[in-house]
Amino acid sequence: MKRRPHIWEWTVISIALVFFFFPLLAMTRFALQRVPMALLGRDTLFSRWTIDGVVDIINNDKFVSSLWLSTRLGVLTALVLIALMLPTVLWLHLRVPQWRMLIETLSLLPYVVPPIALVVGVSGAFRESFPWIVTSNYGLVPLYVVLCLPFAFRTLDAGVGALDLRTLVDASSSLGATTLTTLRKVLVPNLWGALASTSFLGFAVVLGEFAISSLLLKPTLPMYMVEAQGQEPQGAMALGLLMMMFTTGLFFGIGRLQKRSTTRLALTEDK
Amino acid sequence: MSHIEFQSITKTFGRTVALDDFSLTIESGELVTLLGPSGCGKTTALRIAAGFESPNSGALVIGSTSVLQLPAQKRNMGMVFQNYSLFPHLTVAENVEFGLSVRRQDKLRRLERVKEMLELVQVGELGARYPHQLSGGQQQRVALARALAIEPSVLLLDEPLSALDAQVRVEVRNEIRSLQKNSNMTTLFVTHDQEEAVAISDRICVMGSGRIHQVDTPENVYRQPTTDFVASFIGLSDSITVGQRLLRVRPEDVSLVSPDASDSLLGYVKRVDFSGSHSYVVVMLNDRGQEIRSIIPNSHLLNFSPGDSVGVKLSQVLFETPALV
Repeated sequence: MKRRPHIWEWTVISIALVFFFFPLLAMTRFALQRVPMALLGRDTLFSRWTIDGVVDIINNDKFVSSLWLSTRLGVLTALVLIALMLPTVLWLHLRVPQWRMLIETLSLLPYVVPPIALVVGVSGAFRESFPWIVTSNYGLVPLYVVLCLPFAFRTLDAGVGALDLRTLVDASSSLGATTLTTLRKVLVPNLWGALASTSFLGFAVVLGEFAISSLLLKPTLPMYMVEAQGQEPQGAMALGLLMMMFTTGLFFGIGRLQKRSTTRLALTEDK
Repeated sequence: MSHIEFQSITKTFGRTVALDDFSLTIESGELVTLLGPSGCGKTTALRIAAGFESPNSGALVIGSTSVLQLPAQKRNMGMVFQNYSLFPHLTVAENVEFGLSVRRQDKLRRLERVKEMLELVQVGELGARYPHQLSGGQQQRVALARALAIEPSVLLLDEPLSALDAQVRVEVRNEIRSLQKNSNMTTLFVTHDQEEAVAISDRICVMGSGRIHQVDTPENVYRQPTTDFVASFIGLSDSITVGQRLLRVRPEDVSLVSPDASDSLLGYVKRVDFSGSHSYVVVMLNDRGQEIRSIIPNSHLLNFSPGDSVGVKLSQVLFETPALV
């Protein structure tokens, strides 16, 4: 039976919503109204809305090149992340399930290592042997992969855990499939939701990462946004809004994808 | 079809001995059941045959080839699993086609084979459905069709019925048996359910703690067990001490007579357990503190009620061992 929510439940939810949406509304007004900040009030609610700021910032060459760099970095990070983590998680579940806790704990390390330590450590260690890690823009990819490990492991681990992995793998190989065929034709299609989440999350992290690229002086999108804030604060804010909408849209998309694949699995196994 | 031969196979997991000098030959076209309580090694034996586990020592011969060195995907075994193992992202027809497309068979031939297999297991109309749209019984039928589609040399069935409802279980069981007989497929069936084993097998291999206790026809395993473990595991039985001997007796070999009848053991009716067409009369034997059951058709039951003194006569003793004093 449905219960009517208590008044205090409503209060908590309302406070949370205001806390979340109020800054967004303020941000929207600041970004899209050509009104001096001091005058943004009730009287000016409808005056001088414009998207000129956004247009200006998007028409900038630096925006295009930084967006393109971040996109490439995001895609590469997602690919490397999956190529690295999917076999690891499968191997962990099939062969050494007793190590799962250990690997899960290890995968949390990037959370406790601050970016500055990561960058200094990595550039110190690899400057001689792999200078491209410091000099090339793509040197960011391995660092971003490390940054994404905690949630990549958790997402894939949950996805694989929802499958009856042992039976699927055994069934596939008894039918004559090699390990690679099993991975390609049985496991990847059934882990589609988890793989999509992992890559989108990886992509989104790269799109928003500032600390590392700033320390290594790479011209990524977040770097450009910070730079643009000095010259065109409204446009930069508008760009921030756009990116937020884009990533929110992505996450809803993934949510739906995952829900679809998990219902299918749940229904198969409940019989 | 090929015969399959386990030769002195031993398998340990850490300190646990899962299979201890396991030797068994399954003739071509025969259905042999590995029967035993959980943890007796029956599934390990099947998984070794399938190529999912490798033994510590011993040999496995299929037809005339030693196959232990072959990986699972090269052994050409059809396998049906206990858990529903259909690929959730493929339709029923695509599931059955899987093994054929892995073998790169011609598409037209594949489709024909899929149709033929689905009709064989009586789910011909379900080809376009996804596994989650099928009942448990239908899923196991499709799994069977998928295993048979590749024309395996041996069929391995790992408790394929244990997740099904009682009624469907009997139905699918009978189908498996008739398919197996028609195709003359060498089959290894694993179960912990003795009723299932008795109903489906040419021979039953009774296992306990990694060892084979007896390999024989269902009748012989039931009627002439060679160890007390087999006697106690298959069918119902009670053990009582008479003199210096421990006797194991089936309820159908126990008749209840008047207490003054000569040569009878004395006791009183403890309770009567109803069981459909029959009832079990549980008799507590005087002096011994041991219970023995007699099965009686319900039409004859009126004569017994709890507390009555009765005589007990044993028409046949299933297994006899010296009693430990």
